Amino acid sequence: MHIDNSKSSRVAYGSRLASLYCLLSFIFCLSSCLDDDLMEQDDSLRGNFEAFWQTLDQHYCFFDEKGVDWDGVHRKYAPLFDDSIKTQFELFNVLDEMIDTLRDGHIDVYAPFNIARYWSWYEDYPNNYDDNLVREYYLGTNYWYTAGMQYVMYRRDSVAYVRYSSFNSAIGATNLDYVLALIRNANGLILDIRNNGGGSLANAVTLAERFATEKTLYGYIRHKVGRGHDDFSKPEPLYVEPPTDRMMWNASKRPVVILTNRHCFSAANNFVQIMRALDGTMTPDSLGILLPKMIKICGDRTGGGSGLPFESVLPNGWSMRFSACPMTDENGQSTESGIDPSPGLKVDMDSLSAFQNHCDDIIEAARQYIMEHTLAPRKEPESE
Amino acid sequence: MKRFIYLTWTILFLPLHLLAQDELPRPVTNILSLRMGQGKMRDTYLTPLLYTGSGISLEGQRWRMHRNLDWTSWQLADIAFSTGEDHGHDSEAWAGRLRYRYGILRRWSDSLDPLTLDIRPESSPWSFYLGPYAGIDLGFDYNLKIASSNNPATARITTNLGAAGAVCYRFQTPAAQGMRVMLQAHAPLLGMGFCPEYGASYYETFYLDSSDHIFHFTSLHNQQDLDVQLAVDFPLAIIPWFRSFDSVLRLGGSYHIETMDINDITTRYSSFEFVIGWVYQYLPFSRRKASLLKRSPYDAY
Repeated sequence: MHIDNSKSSRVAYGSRLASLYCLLSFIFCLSSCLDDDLMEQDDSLRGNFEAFWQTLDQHYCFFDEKGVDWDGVHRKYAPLFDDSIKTQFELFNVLDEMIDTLRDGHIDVYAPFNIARYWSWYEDYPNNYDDNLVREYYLGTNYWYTAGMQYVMYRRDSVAYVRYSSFNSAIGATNLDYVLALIRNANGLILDIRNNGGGSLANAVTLAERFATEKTLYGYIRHKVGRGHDDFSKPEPLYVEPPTDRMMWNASKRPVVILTNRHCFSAANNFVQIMRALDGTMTPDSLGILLPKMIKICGDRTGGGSGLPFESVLPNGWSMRFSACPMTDENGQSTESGIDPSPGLKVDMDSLSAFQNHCDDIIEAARQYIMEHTLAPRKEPESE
Repeated sequence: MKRFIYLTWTILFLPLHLLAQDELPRPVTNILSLRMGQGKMRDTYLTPLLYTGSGISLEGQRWRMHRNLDWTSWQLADIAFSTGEDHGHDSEAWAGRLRYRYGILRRWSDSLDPLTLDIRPESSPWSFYLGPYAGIDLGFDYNLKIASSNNPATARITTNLGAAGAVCYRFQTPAAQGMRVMLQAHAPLLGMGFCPEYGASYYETFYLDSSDHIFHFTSLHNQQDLDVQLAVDFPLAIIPWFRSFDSVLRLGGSYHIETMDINDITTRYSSFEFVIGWVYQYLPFSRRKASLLKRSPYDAY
């Protein structure tokens, strides 16, 4: 290899200077303009108020639906931080009042000493559920229990009763197979989700899909695409479809009644929405005749909570939760304020009767509905 | 059957064998470094707070000269993990990163004789490198304070074409024989990046397979990423007590800043880290080729 030393050295000298200049310029320009963003947030009482207000302003999804003037809320409370708000407890109280204006059970602020919340969605209504009554007189002590589901079959009318108190309890496919197999000869199924405050939406879908026979639209979900109050994505359809090779429940012959009260919230509300969408869909029987599913909602209106919640953290370390992704039913109607029971199945518990006669009026109404509508061949129940 | 395999092997690889016989081996430098230091992170998909803490990363680099010594292939792979707390120590966040880069860098240096690979006694102490690279970055952020929420973590995936460069100064005094100072930097310039939509949940993105607006063209307008490292390669043999060691120690510092602004989501990282590493230089030659060389070249960059 022949090298022209004089020429190569001149070229190399210029190239070195150019590359060094480029490298250093690039480093200094980029680093100087980027580090400015790595500043701490204002952790004063006012700073935390502003962070809370701004997080909701940019991410909360129900301003328009609830008709809340969020700028007005800011105008109302911001001046308090000029003189009267001096402690973190007063800050907490202000945030609590701001939450009340939004009337949303998904909004909370978790301080080390308390939780700012809006729970009027169930506290202002009849409870319609007595846990002691259910445990003592409807479940007893020999109920079966798996994946958060307590279940039993009543000997008197061969109706299956399944109590599922939280969608935080993970439901396995095999768990469901066993439960549905063990109660397969029941005349109908009561699914009691009263006081179920929600949990994982995936669990709600996993449970509901055992009652579907074909892919069924049950709603839509949207999300924020920008900071504006109405910056939403296009609605994304939500479907429930039956799993393959799994134990299913034939709701066309054996009615399903879901028991609800005002404390059914969030994922429980979504579950009711899915089941309502499945009600009336057709199922072919063994002769190919299409029969409508009988999936009914009995009890009180649900508590709502149709916004998928997100969480964030305030500068003082308090975490906060808020509705971020609104969901609607299959007709595009919001279920944020709850879902009504099926016609004719709005039932309130009589507390006196519950106490004196050990009778849960909502469960009894569901049993009556099942016995009046079941198409199952009458058989002796296998277990209780 | 054996004959068939031998024949096939010979037909396929004979040209490569013939080519290789005419070549001298080219120096390779492997650098294995541990980086430890302080960092800051912010991801507004999770929370607008800034988290400050410490991080550690393991980085491997490989520099291999091409046949005419004007080009060098450069590879970098690193895995990093960092933790941070908000300034009130009330919440904690974790971040992880996996990076790979492959680049072809133009080399400006006359330090090596291209025929013998000996260091020229009158050569310049400076070496310069500049060139493009292709890379992929994977990362995540996880906020423990909101771990049970629908947005506890976020992922980052980018594939990039970028620029990498380095300046190397080789000490020539006998007392510091073999010592080098190296300043190197690399930054992505354009590529593709994954980012969730502003308020979209991962439930919607993956469970419902809603993938609109999650892959974006990235360039300097929405992604700025710069990794700079200044290091001294320090042959242990120049210390009297370590005469018998032929290892090269790397000591230095690094500065990394990374930002991304996509879908109104702001992501920021920065770190200052101390670097300690081991530099291993070698010639990938056979014994027959070794006879062509008087000695191993020391300057393998």
